[in-house]
Amino acid sequence: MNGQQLFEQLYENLLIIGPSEKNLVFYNEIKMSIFNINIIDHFYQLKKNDKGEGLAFEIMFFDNNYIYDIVFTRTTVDYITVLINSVNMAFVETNYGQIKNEKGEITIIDKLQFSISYGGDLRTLVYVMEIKRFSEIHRIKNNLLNTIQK
Amino acid sequence: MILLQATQENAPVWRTHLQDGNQIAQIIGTVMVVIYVIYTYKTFKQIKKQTDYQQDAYLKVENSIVKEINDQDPSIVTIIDNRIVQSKNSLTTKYLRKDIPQKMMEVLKPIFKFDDNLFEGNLFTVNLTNYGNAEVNLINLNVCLLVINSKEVAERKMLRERDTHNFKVKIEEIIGRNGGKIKIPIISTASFPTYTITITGEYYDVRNKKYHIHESVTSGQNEHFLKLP
Repeated sequence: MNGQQLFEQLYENLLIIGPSEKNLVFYNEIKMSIFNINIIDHFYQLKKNDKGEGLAFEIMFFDNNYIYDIVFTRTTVDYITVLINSVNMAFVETNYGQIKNEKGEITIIDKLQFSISYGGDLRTLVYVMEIKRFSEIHRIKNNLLNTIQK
Repeated sequence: MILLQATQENAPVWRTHLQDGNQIAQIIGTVMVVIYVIYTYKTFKQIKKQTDYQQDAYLKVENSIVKEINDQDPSIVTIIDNRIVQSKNSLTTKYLRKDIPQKMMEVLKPIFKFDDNLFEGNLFTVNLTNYGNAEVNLINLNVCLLVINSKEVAERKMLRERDTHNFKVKIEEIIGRNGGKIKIPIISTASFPTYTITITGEYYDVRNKKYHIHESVTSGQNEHFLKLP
């Protein structure tokens, strides 16, 4: 699958967050620019917007040369590209359990964190999601490391 | 003889004037005394009021939306005295109303199929600051929550267009005088398509004196629940 096909496939998810007209234009521009990229693996998710209200749409994918991390909110676009050879660690961390508060109410913790460290320990791409996506993330991690090894 | 006659004829006139003047002066005197008494009474009343104010609590109530309570997140750390310690969020969850957002999530989740975490958080929180001179030890809030579904969702999924929930929150916490602060999360708004939260209530200081909380209204929207997928 090339980049353009991926973006066409994910377009409906972008619409859920209610992006601005400008962000729709940016989405199409990015889609056109990654036409030649042969994607090895990818994942996407809708998450809470860290910068403000509403949701954010996060896409991560990689080819033989780069990791692309793109986050759309209603009004912003963050687009990070990381040289795949600069990756030095991929880290999958899970936390699943229950916590009781003082009233005896039970809260379920359900968190999976996938971190990709690059260019030194302080630079990290972090993806947080529910633990049900472990297999998917595990697959992506293995594919990423295999690609780097090549 | 002529002079005596004139004096006898004129005497009653000036005497009358003098008597009139005296009466007017007495009236003015009385009025002045009354004004003085009223003024003094009002001054003392004002002084008492000021003194009372100096002993009163004054709670400022502000509303905000807090994204998450992170007290269960082990990855949040702070550095204290060059040591990394796990951060503890001071927000309490003991006043958090969970059943209404839970019901709303159960209704909307089959429709929108989002992950659970998108139905959680965005907590409507009251920020209470005591600028007065007496500690506050009890706050009673009357919360009116109006949840509105979009027309499209309501019509096509046979949901009610609007739901109203009234509930009371009894906050038993000590809020220190001269700037004591506390933040109380009341309800998660992440699972409400459109919502309006109205708050009124009263609070009591440690002398059991009652004060009113004026009405405040907070509205918001989660746009991703307005259009059907």
